[in-house]
Amino acid sequence: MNLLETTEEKTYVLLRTGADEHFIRRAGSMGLVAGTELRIIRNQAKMPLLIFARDTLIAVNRKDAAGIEVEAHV
Amino acid sequence: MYKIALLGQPNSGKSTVFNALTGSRQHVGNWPGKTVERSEGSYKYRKETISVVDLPGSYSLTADSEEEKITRDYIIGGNADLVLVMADSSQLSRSLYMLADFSKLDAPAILLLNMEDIAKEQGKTVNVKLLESRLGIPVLSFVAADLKRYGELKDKIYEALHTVPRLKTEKCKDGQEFLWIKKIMDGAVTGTQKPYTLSRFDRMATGCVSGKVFACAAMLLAFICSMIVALPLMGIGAMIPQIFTPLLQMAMDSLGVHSFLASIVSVLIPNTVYFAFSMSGFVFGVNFVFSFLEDIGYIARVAYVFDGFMSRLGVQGKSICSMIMGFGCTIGGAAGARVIDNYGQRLLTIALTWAVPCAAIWSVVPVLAAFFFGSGAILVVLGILAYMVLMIFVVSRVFGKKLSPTEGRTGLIMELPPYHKPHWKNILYTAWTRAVDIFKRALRTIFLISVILYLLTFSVSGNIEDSILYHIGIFIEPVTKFFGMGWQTFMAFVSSAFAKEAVLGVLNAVFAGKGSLISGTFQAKSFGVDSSILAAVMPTMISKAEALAFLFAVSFNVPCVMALSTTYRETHSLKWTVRLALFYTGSALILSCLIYHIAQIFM
Repeated sequence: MNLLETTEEKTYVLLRTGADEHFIRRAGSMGLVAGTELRIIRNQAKMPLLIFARDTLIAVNRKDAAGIEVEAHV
Repeated sequence: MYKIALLGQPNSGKSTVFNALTGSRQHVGNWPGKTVERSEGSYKYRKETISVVDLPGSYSLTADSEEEKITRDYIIGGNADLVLVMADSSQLSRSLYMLADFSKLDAPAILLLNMEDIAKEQGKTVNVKLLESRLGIPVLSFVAADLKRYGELKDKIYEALHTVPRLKTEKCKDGQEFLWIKKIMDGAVTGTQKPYTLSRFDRMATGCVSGKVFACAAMLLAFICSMIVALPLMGIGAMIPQIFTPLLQMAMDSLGVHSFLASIVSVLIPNTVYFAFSMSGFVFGVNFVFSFLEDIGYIARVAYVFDGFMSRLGVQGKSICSMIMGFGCTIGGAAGARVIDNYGQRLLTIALTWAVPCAAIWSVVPVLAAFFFGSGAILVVLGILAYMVLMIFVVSRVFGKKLSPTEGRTGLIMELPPYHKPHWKNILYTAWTRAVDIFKRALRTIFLISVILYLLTFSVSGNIEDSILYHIGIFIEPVTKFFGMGWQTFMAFVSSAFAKEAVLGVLNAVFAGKGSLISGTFQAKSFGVDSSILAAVMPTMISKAEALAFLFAVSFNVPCVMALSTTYRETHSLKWTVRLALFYTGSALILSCLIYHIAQIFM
């Protein structure tokens, strides 16, 4: 599933950060790489997503979030 | 002389450390040939002068952006004797990314773990000794906003400059940054953070509608607070011409000094000091309030709620702060743009803020509109607001490509720092040094422009008809008429670039014969204008079409000289300040021309 399809207050594991090299590097420098555990803090329509990863609250806009693949953390 | 460089991600506290180390001994310019800011300063310690370079804010050293390329080249080029790599103790596993990237280069370094206080609040402890032994470089746990801690930092820097410590770890491989960090951090941080939940306030502050409403209200409140902070300083400034102009005039008269020199001394100098004083007072107020909002972590929330809308203009969500501030004062908007970390986007934000008519325009335009259009003045005001929106989009289209290239726009992926208590001492110190700095620079700029305008408006007899500006006005009237303005309104248009309040003063001088052109231009701000005669005279002398064209031209003309000076100060680019000024003057004339000729058909 992509980041937009996630539920607030649930934890996920990041699989891929999309196809754009520039964005992959930027997301990586923010701590978002494959294997990172993240918690969805806010996922409301028309607003960037708020996720919590590596002790940091991070905002990701919806267009980029659609390209980030995650799976539910078990 | 030694040279040290500061390296860290946005929000790492790099600028706070730079300001605290260098104080007022700093110079801000641009990297040669680039639209990227270069901050350099120095301090003295144990008889050594240590120069400090604040490397451009970037997230990594992958040379993805101009900022990253400059930073990378600077370090590789061996330009610094020591690099201070900054990380955030409260988010160590993420913020050591820069150090991981840095390990790929070979340069002497110190690791500065900022936000020790926040990490403690979160129940985390960092084992500094363990990190030091693994990395092989000095590590200092630190609170950048605490000025008492800088002795310790300067000691560490001094020692490191002599021991030249280098990382002893293996170089991090590309794409393996977090594995490298994991190895370094293993067992070095104790205590874990509780699961993060949004507070009730943050839920509201980041809400789609509530967040925007709250941000707008907060910006208006910020403007009011800035004014409250600035008013005492501006009040003192306003007293300068009121007290000194009559006294100096008397002194000049008694000495029999020529009227040309007499009015330079009695009118120009006190007003220049007043303008510079009130400008720096306002800059102090704005910086104080914005530094506070940034320090407590709120500005990042504004960026978050407005990002969608503002990114269409090529700027960050934070830019809305400057634009809302611009309704109050363009100086405040330009000074407030400092919170934008990308130089190009900061310049674009200032360019957009110029399109927002300031409070001085709102105090002049409705008055004049009412003289000509009665209750229809409200339509003029609405028209100006509508054109403002259009102008914002036009400016974004014209300058956006160059200042904020589409390929460089990374959508929104940013950190929202946790809220924390303000560091008052640091906020006050920052606001004060900026205000003093702008006062010194503004004095020169305003005086220079004032002298030019003064020479244009001066006449020996005191009659307008003897001034150079009048002769130029008359000479080029056939041209200005094409743009919709007669010589009188054109003079007011030109003087509006000095101070928007001058519009009424100059019109009063040319239409009602009240006061000289000089006093109309320079003293309207400090002494006010009685516009009662103007209301009766003006509508009989110029047409409604000309009045409408003039009102729009004044509203979207280049902002006042103080705003120009602040723009120059904030962008430290004369080229861009002049480019923007020419664009706004030209577009105001074209607008005036269009409105005049179209309005003539209907009015």
